[in-house]
Amino acid sequence: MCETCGCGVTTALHEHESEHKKIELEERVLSKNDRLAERNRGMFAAMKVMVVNLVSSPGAGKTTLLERTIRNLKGEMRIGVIEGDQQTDRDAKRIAATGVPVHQINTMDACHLDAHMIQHALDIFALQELDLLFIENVGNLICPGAFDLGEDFRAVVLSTTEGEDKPLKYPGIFIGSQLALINKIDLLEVLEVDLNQYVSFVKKVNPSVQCLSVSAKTGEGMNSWYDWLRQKTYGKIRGAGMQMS
Amino acid sequence: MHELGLTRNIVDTIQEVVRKNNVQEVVKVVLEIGQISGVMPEAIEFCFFVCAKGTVLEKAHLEIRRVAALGQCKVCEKEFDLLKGNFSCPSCGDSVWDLISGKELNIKELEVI
Repeated sequence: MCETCGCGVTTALHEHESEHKKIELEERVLSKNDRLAERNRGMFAAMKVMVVNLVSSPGAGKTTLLERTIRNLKGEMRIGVIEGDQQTDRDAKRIAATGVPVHQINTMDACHLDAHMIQHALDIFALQELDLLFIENVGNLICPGAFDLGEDFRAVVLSTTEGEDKPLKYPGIFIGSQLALINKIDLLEVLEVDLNQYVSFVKKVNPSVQCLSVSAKTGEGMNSWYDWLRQKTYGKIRGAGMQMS
Repeated sequence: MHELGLTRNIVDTIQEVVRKNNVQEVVKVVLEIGQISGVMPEAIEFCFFVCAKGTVLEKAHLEIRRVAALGQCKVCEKEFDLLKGNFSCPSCGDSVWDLISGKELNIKELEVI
């Protein structure tokens, strides 16, 4: 140990005036994840697959939304799904029943999917045979918001049963999303809530987000969501085709 | 609770810097955490204590600087605190803005011996 300052340095060249050196790092903690996400994004671009990262709190209806969406769109586009849950393959089984390829990731202790998990999940898909890939994230309104997976769009699902103030309470995940789906609008009357309030709170925390109101159960409003998916999916396929030529 | 994984990342990144810079000991670590980053500073502090154990960071003091969630009003161009202003510009009342800061999660600097 150094007798002058007690700092633990034993070398002869130890200079006390500069003993506490500063190292400026400015390093993003998530830079590793971001790099892997960019790799995934590059892969999706090369394979012309449009990717949607679906986030929400648990029980907002992501899986039900996907089931109905797949049954309605699988005749016109090739769809795949990556399911993220802490435990069980219950969601993957529900999706498999619709007849599209699905892969379940069990995150165990983790509360979100990250780009590395997606990179490995992609091994089981023949990406060149897909037009649209859904990634259903772990149900959680906080953590998934920090992790880019390489997706084209992040869509947040907010169900009417959660209460209209969730965007104000958990702004982070709404701020980073390009689309908000307000689900379970078939329950508006029973819940005695105002749909406009949900839309206005979502818009308040993210003025540029696009809002669609749907009921994955009854199918109400789902056509707008399908049109959005068609526009983005065919747009990417055409756009990628133009870049290639 | 993704803070444990993030803190492992932080400690790994710093250990890499330490190896490259021939550092004996890290005295201080400065992190920037944005107010809407979805990261809880208290949890990072707790995890840091656990993750740093047995490394050159063991005795390091952890300083966390919170970064306010700032938006710039698209109408009057004034910057304002989104959380304090309830996502509306306090100057002109408009609620259309661009995000300027608040999602940070950065290792800002180290103090080393």
